[in-house]
Amino acid sequence: MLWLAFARTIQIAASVLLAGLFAFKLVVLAPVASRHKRVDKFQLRLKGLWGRLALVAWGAVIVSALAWFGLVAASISGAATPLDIDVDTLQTVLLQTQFGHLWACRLGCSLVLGILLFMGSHEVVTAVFAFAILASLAAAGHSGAIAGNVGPLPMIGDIGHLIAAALWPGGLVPLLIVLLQQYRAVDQSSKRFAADVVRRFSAVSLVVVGLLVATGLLNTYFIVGSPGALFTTDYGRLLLLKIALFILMLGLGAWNLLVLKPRLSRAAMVESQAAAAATMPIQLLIRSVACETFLAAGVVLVVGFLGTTPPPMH
Amino acid sequence: MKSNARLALVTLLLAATNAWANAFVDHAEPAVGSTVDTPPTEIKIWFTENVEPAFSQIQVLDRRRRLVTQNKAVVDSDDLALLKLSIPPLKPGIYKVSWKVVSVDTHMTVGSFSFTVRKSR
Repeated sequence: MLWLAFARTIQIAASVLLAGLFAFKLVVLAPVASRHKRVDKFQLRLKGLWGRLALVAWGAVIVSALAWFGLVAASISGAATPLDIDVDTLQTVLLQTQFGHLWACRLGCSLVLGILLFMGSHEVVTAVFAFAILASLAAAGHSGAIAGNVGPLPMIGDIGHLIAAALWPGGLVPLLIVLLQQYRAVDQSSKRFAADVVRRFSAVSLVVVGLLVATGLLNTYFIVGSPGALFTTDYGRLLLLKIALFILMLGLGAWNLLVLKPRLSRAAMVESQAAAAATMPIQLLIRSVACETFLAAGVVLVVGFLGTTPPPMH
Repeated sequence: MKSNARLALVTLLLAATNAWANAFVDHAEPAVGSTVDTPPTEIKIWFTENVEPAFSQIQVLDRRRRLVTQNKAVVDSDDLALLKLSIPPLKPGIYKVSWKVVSVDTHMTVGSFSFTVRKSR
């Protein structure tokens, strides 16, 4: 069960990161780049980093998907490890279960996505595949299991929640890359470009937090029982841990938005003689976003374990 | 009271989605622990989640722990949370129904219940 939770965690994290890279690029980076017009070294360097990170995330999606399938097949067939499963059982799981069908579709989409990533073109189509892989996780979870009983609402909420997570916190890793590149940049245009990226990401994040809350509310209606269950069940205690991490993330996000972002914008406007002083807000922001990313990884880890723990409602 | 309400709200807002659950018995025919006058020809168990036919089964044992049928349970085509097992006519007595199901989110659960067929008067 422990390995299954880890495989799910890596699958969720890699899927969120992959979709987050494209979401960040299309929703945050592209509009800012179009305003700045000039494609400079800074933007080209970002493009190279993007491609490499997307390939790493894609590799993690494939490897964790294979591990996930083997561990689930072992779990439902009663085999001790994935290596003990016979071919017939693998075939049955693949061809005769909802999980198997979904897994095959997701793997197919992942392979197409890999080809598109290697080609490096058709960005919008690539993004659609990345989001399809992420959104389809909803069907593998609780909402997929209860869809027959209560209709598609939990599934819709789950999909919305996953897509929102791709934008924030999924966009934190790309943001961190932009900030690190900005820290190294010496020219003022790069600093202004990065400051605009941070400004736009903050605006998008505000909307996304609202979407996360709305979809979380919708989904939780179907799976959470009484508040007392938070303290008396394993699921509840894990959930409390997730809530604590999420609140810390929101706190850091608010500090970034209300304190550091205005300072960064002002620093981007000063001329080179003040450059030394101007590096201070960017350093603080890098540390803060790195902490947020670390907390987000913790949230995904908890979600991975929540997935293998029965909710209090059951 | 106020803090409890706040806690409940925060929980509702932030709780994880995408959780996996287990399938448990919602209700059954014959009902769990019931006594029936007419022997059933089919055991029906409704679960709280949709279940996987390939990995779900029901067994009915008589008082001497003998299987009353070798039939395989099937999932209803209209209700994927309903598992059914056809059985031959039962003599009066106590029967134990054992079930093992895998929900569509791949979690396995097992359980059992009894029912009694009453002697006709």
